[in-house]
Amino acid sequence: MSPAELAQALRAMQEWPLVHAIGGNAYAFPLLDAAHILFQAFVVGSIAALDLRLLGYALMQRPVTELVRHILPWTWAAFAGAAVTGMVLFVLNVTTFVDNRSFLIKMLLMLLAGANMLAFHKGAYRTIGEWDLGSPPPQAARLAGALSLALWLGVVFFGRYLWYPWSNRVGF
Amino acid sequence: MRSLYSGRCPRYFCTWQNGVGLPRQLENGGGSGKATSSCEWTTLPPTRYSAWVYYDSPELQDFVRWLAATTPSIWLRAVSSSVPVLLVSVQTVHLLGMSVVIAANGFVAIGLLGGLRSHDALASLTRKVIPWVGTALALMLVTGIMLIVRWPQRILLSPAFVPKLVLVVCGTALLFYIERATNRQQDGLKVRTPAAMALAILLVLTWTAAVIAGRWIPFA
Repeated sequence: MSPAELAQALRAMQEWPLVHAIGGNAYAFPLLDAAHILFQAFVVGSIAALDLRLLGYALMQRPVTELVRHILPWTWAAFAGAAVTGMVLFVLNVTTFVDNRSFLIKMLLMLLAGANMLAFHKGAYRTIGEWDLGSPPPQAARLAGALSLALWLGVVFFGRYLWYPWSNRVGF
Repeated sequence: MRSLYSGRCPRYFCTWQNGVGLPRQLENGGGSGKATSSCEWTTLPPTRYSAWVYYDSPELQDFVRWLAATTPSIWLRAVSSSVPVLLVSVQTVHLLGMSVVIAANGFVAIGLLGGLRSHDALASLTRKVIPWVGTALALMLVTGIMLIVRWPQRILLSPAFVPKLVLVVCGTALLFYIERATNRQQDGLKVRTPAAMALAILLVLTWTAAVIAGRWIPFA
């Protein structure tokens, strides 16, 4: 696909009835954005709780496996909500977002957070029986927790930053 | 990078033509409701201020004018207008505080609805989240004041600001009440009872409304 074709496709997306329905409604955009923020807050907050457990700073009286079982299904549900509302917000702004460095960085950071989670599940989590309760998590688990905290912090930061167009602005 | 966008903006809020994707109405002191950008869809509904509406009171307007002219306000605006890293950092801390509050209240509600292993798990959860929520709210207060000082007319003159504060206070009070009720020695609140379910729904609704009202501040 050539850049011109891509631009054409994106401009066509801007003519979708959904875009016009939301664009013409004074309440739809703030409500969608509020829903996205609400879901995102739950995702970040619940992941942070697990990360702090992996770092050994909080919830040390609870087994990691129990926390994973109780927290993660809700995290995924909230993530699904954030993803759906996020996609609608993306389509509404598609022509600016594809060109928005903050947006691309945010997506990249989320991919990295996903990769970090996968690496944790394939790595340190396999030996969970040895450190589930009563002993400090191993180095690899603490690293995964710290990385996850930092990456989600970055996701929130760039999620805010993407509203300030800076691709044509000096400085960061 | 050049933007691919050309043609008019079909959206209500448009970062492309409006700079920061927010209405410009309050920036001009409110009132006119006329969009200042070239994007015709950004025209806001006319405001309906009337004498009894608090945000229209001359005292508040004077206070906002005074606050906007203070050195910290001018400094915060000057720093964040050229390179908004500071502004976005403050907003990020505010949002992270909100994440702690929302996740904590969310899991308390889940516990009340019977989503946790036992009643004891809920009682200890409510005890544990209180200090985290308190810290998060304190952080949000500090960052919130910074955001107000930076742009007082946008926040203090917004009709959504006071409802947001009221909802946050209600949500916090509700959480404290649930903590007390689940940790009572006798007659404690039991999970999955009608009272517990009603409280859970009320808690979720209150915080959802608080988030919506908070997001509404710049739009209202």
